[in-house]
Amino acid sequence: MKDISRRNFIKKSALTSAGSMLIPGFLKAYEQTNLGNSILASEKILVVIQLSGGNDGLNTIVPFNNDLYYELRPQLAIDKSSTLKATDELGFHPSMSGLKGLYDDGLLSIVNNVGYPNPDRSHFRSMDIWQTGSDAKSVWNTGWIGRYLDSTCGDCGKPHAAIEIDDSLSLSLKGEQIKGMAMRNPKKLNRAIDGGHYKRIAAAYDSEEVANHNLDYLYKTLIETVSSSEYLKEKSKIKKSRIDYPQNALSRDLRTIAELIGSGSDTKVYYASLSGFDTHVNQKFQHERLLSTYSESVSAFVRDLKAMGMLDQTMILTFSEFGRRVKQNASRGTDHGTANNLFIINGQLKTPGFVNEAPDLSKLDEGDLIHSIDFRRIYATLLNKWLDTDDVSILKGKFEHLNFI
Amino acid sequence: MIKEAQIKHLLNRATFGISIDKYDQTLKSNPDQVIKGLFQNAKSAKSIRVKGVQLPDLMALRNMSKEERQQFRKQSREQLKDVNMTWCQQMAGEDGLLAEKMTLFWHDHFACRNLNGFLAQQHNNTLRKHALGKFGDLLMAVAKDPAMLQFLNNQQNRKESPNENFARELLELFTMGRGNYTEADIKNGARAFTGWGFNLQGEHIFRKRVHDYGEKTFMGRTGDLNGEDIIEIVLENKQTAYFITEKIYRYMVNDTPQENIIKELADGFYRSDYDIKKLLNDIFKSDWFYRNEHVGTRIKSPVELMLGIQHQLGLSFSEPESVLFLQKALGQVLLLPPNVGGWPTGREWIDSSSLTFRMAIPTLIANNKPITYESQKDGDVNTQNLGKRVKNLVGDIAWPKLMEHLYDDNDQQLVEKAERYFLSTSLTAQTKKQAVAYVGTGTDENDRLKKACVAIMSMPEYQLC
Repeated sequence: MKDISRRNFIKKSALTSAGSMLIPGFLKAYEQTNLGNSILASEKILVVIQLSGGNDGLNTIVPFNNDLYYELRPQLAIDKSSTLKATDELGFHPSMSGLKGLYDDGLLSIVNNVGYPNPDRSHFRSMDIWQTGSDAKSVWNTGWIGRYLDSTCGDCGKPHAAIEIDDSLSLSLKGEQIKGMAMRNPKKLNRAIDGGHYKRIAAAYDSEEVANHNLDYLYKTLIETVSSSEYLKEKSKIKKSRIDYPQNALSRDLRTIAELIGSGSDTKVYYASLSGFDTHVNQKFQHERLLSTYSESVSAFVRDLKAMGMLDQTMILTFSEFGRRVKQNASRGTDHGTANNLFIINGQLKTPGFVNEAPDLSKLDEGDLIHSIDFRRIYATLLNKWLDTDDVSILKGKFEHLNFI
Repeated sequence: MIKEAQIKHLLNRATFGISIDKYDQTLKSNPDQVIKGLFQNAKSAKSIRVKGVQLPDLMALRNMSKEERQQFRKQSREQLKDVNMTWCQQMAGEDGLLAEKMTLFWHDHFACRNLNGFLAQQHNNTLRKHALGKFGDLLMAVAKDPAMLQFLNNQQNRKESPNENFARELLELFTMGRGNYTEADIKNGARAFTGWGFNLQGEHIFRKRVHDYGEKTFMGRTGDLNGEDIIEIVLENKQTAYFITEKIYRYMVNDTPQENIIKELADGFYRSDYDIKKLLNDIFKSDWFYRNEHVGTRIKSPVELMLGIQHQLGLSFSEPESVLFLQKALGQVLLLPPNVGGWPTGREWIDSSSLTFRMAIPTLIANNKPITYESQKDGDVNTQNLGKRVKNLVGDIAWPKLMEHLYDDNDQQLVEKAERYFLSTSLTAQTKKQAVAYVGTGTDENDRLKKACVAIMSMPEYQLC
């Protein structure tokens, strides 16, 4: 019942908004034909948070009873006493009380030792691998979320089906046919679109006259952008957040996402990122600050979603392109590593807490952790069990599902 | 096709578009003369030599204090930035443009990231040196190039523990393409390249001690093969000529390949012992190159877009770092390709945010608007100085020359002149109307000219060449 009324509401509100807009009739027609193609087969939403630069997972989830950890990190290791203990062996970094709270409430699953075979220690390459879902040997030019859009939406074209909160779009959200869209927030997007000549140009498009595939594609992208910008502007008026978020960029982005989720935007995937994790030098304070930012922002976001009644329908994945070397370096920092932990947050997790074993510091490969769970198993699980889609074709291979959903 | 349009198409593809400096002079010549001039002018291409760029003295580095070492790394990053900016300056200039355009092609083909300014500069100069020469020479030079050897881990390719990275990319990306070799070929190819490395002076060396002198079978040939043999065998294979020709066709002609034409070109390329100059000449001199289906159908890469604007407006930025900002914001930072596969192409460049930003650039340049666009942070401390935010994108524009060539008192005429100058395809009736109306709001001659230029360059059509 609830689902049906919500969907009707979406349709209705989008139509009213289209009617009130000062956009050309041809665009309105375009909007209406697209309303029928809603990809909201289910009401489930995925939020991806990317920690850029390579988060030091060992100082995030601390193995506080492991002598090797303290041996290899004489200055960098987190004190046993200050660790926020979760199990007999693992605890949270002291600045992550927010995330620890989610753990205590059964809203957080932690997957340890996630990675892929033949790990690449270059930021770009490893981020590429995570964003495309390829193996270390292949170079792909579409992202895993982009291919999800391709497979679900055919060529109905609607960039706001996947939104990245940024000025430019990551490879993750680029498909062969369909690409998601990047924006800071609906207001800024709308200001840019209204302030420019985009609408007039989009309206001047004449498919009869344009016999050039690439030009067609450019106009199509432009028209969709104008249309999505209008849609998001109208949507974003529906729900405002009532929760206090901390003052930082990630919080601002997550609040934008929460408001769009609360407003019932026809968006399946949201993407946000936090950068600065490349902690080669004097890691301690920088890392502490970043973890605190992440933890406080995410816990506010979860509170917000809960207040809106959307926490059960929203799955939040947090990942980084790699972890860091177990042994600290000579500059009180850590160098690029391999396997890492990742976080999954949702109101209805099947396996709250730790999904698998703690990292084994006695068995390293050239000083790095060895992965036990391929990251594409996480993607496969999310695509199949959460987004109800064909994970095998999107990931171009079969990966065993995990049980967190 | 009329002569003028032919020349414009030629220059769009062989260089970075016609420049306002040479507008009249170029269009008065005939296409054959222009082609000849391009190859002649290519000889004036210069190597990049940024002052002070040198290899680190590794012995000295070892004795440096932590602060000194940090300082040193910072300096190295600054040098990489300088190499990038110098290259952009050369491409925005008038010397050796065909060689520069092909250097850009080879930079994407032999994609290589090296954070050391000296090695990056040397690599770039190697590409330029052979850009229009024999592909075999280019391939051999790249295979021995320290930046590439480092990037593809050949320093670690030793008899006891072969590293297959270089051999794999050599076959997959540099010469033949997937499906034309086996995993065994890669394994044995890698063995043949064991011992190829470089010394502290940044020179190629062959380390006999770590080379595998055993018998190897590579693509049907058996013997004590070395790296040179592998390259020779690969060049003997016609697939290499086809693979390279197709890629050049996509770059110069159309991103939808046409098999019969490519095959014919590739046959000639192979027979000429991989003469790149001849291949390009065959393309530029053909009739099919000027067919409508190829004109104005190619989506400009970010760097092509930026350089096209510079050439067409006679623009030099007030802040030299503007070129870095644009590269970063548009997602193509030279010297830092995303991976060994090189940059995206064609439509992959276009999404809603990149398109709207691309279309806003002319306004930012001509109207001194503050920039609010923030480039994505990749999280790598080593590259964050590239693409630093600039205050604005203004610069000196050759308005008097633009006035001389494009101005008309009649709005419609003015728009049509600008359209012919800036675009490779014609606007639709409706879009042209939009531009004419906008020009009509101009206050005086200068303002109307500026509005015409901005209006035309802000059209989706301007993303094509």
